[in-house]
Amino acid sequence: MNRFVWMVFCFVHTIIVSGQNQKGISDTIFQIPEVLFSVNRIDNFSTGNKVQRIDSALLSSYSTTNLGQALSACTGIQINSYGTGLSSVSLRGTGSSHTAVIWNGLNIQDVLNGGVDFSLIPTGFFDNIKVQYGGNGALFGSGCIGGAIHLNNTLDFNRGVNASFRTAYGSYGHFYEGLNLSYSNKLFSGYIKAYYNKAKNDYKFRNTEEFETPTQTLHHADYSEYGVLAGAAVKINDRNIFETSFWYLNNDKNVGQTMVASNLSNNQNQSYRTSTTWKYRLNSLNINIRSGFVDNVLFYNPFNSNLPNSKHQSLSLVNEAELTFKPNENHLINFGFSYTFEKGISTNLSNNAHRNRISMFSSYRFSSNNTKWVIVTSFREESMNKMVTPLTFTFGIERQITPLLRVKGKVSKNYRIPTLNDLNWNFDGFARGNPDLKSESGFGQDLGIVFNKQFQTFTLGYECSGYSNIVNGWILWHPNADNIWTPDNVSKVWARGIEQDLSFKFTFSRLTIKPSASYSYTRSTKIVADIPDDDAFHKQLIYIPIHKAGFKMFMEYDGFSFYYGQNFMGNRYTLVNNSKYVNAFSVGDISLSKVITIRNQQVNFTFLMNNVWNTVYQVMQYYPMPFRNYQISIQLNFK
Amino acid sequence: MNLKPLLFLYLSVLTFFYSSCKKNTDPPIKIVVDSVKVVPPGRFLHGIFIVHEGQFGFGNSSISYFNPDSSLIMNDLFTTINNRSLGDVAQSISYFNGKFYIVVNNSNKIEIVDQNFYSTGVITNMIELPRYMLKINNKKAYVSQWGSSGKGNIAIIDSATNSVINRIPLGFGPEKMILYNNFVYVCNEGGFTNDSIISVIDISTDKVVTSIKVGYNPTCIQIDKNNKIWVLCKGMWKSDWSSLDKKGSLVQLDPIDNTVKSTIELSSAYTQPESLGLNQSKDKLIFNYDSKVYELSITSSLPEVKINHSFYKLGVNPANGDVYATDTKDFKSSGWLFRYNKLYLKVDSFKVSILPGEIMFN
Repeated sequence: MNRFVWMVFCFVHTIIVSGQNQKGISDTIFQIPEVLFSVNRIDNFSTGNKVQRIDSALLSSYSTTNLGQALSACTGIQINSYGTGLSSVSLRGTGSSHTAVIWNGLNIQDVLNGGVDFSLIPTGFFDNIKVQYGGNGALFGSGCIGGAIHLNNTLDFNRGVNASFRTAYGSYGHFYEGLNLSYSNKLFSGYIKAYYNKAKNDYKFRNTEEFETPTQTLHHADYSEYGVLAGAAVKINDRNIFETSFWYLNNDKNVGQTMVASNLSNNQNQSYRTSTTWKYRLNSLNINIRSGFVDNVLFYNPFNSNLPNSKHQSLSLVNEAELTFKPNENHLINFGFSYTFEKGISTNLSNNAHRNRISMFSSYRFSSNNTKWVIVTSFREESMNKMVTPLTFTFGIERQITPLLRVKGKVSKNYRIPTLNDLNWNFDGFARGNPDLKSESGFGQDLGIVFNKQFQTFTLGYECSGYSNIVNGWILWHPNADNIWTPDNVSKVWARGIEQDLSFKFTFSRLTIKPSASYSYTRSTKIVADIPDDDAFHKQLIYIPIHKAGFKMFMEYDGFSFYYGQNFMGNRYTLVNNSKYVNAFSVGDISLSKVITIRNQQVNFTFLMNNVWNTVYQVMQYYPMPFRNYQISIQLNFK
Repeated sequence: MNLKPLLFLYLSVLTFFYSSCKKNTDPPIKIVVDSVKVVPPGRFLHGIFIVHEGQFGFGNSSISYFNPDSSLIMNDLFTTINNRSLGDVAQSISYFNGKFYIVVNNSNKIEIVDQNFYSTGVITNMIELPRYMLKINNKKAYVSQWGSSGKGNIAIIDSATNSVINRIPLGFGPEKMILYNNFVYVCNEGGFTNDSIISVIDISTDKVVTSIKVGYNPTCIQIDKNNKIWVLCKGMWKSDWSSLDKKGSLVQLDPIDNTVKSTIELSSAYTQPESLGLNQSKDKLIFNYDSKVYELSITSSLPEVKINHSFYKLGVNPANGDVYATDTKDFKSSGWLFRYNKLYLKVDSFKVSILPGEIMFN
């Protein structure tokens, strides 16, 4: 499951994580702890990258929501939410297909369209979530140009029996039920998580786009979904561990109503994902062999009987072998090889919509004593159906200049291979795929400073990062001379920006207060003219806000915790020539929770209030968002 | 683009002229008929309207107003004046009983605005994928619609209530219509499938009286100076979309006996014709085809290339014979409106909004 495992460190890490869980607190919201030894690639080799780890207690408050809601409430990243329907992520001025989503090391971006619908993923399934800002294709492969979201589960030993049961009720007919069981002894560890979730989403909104702006009730936005995630690890002996996990999701969702149109449809999504790893350790050598399988099916059933129902299925099989070698504390070397088979089966795809991908990768990390200097170089070469993509690399460096100040830098070349839809879309009288597409390539630079100062009762943290990322051969669908829509590597985009995060932590005996603020400035512009008189030239890409800010306050006192977050999103252009935009908004969320311990068993009460100030806003234009809404949940924990 | 300066400029010029006109001519007369005050004509009564479909699903359709004398263009008229979206995929605009009716296809509605473009109402009930509207008389108008479940229909709009009073079932994809001698000729352009029928409706009974089989997927219809009806048929794709199974064609009908008089097949097996106009003297047909603008004399069977430019829709100004055509560019940045004189010499061009389509002259 987790790769590059050094088992000893795995245990250390596990203890840290579980210790945090027991206390119900964790690290600051914005800073990740500088973990000395870690369990996977992001921790070992992402030197120079800004990585944000979501506070685990906060994550637990949002465990009854979907990943899109949780990420937009708990982090500053941009989640494009189409009302209660689909939601996608955009990191550092790039698109959803430029953000890799990595579940326990397996990239789960859809093979057909390159995206991940975050509204389909239950937050409660993961033990920790990290947001990696900035691409690192050499580590994580195709699609990691703007950054990555890492979803992780931990399998730890010697923890006995744990069970928890959570029920939540919320506005608009929201009901959630989740179960979490785990057992481990010194040789076996296993868990099973299951959930059922449904909502009517029949909320009221003012339709500002209709005659006399009537107040309407959203209809046809209900869903019901369930899923299960199970994992097991067996310690065969001191050298061998075998791990496997299985994930099944079933979402049944009605979508399609906006303020201006109602192209209603029912979407049925079923996904199976498995991942199996064999870990072998011999002194300073570690070998991981992993195999992952993903089968994702979407049944799209439009309510307009003029349009046909369709089925879109994607299959991928990923096999990886890697070797990690740590001769001493200063050096860490890694080599790997992966083979992936991908296939798309869809009404719209040609029969030969499949491909073989082979890649080789390697990383090296040098860290000086006391980690004053850390230098990482990584390389990856991928060939897709015998077509070799250009060599991608990352060179990252970190330097502790003074005990307070750390400087990070990174240069990386990243890539994204075309999706199967881009390559193999069958001509339907309107659009046609382009089998000659090349990979997109991104070239990015990051520079950041991290300042941390500990006083007696409080800690101050400040991180500032600047980045520049040029994406060449950006794949765009556009009508050709015969007015047939085809994709081409025509566009070139320059994304650059500055991110600033400021956080404090005050501790007064049993009271902890953690206020934090963040601001990001993003310019993402098209720097070639794709057509004559292109009025999108040098204009900001649509739906990328230039200004984004957030304020968060987290307080804990004696099992009682309070969270308040206020996020501001600036104007976002809706037309490529930037002549129209959807208005800026600011939305506040509150979460309150209280843990009561009765005879060693814990009961956790959580109250969520979303859109505290009753803001009328739209994330995506003409998709109404709900007014103030509530949720209560109770979680029982047994040991 | 910010339209406010343009609008302001336009309004100030207009106000100036209007007030100066008033001073020089008769004092304002208030005519009272049936205690209804007759207001002076609105500022957008006369002119050329460009209907922008906008991107499907994005709700960015719009209307541009063009004054051919001053060459002044105003984009995004509806939203600028009414401060809300026009809706998703505006298809056409019609003038009926002193008001403009904007047919918004994917919003399943017809927006009604006055001559100053202020919103005065909307028709939504029984409107399903509407396409075009045709005035029948002062009491009613027909709206062709594709319908949400297979076959299309004509919705009959009653002018007294601005509501749909009845629907006439038709074939697949009812599209453009013309009125000739108490009969409406409706193209069934295929919609989401294929069709090849012109339906003829008696306006006194609102019933289909006959169906004429023409070429595949008839989309546009005109009537020439000899009172012969011309139908532009798009042709039909093969089931694998590799090429056209039936090529596009122009079909001449005689409304006297409702029969096909002649069919002129177009040459290409890979592209379909679009948009049919008629010159000022109504003896030449003009249409977009194969990335060019063609002209066909009603006495000839050989279309000639007149403009070498790929356009989406075209229209002929009945006042002077100027040809207007819309260029959609890449369907997501600003489109262009081109103006040619009756000899197809380019006069000028104007940047308009996203995905300009139909052009209407009032």
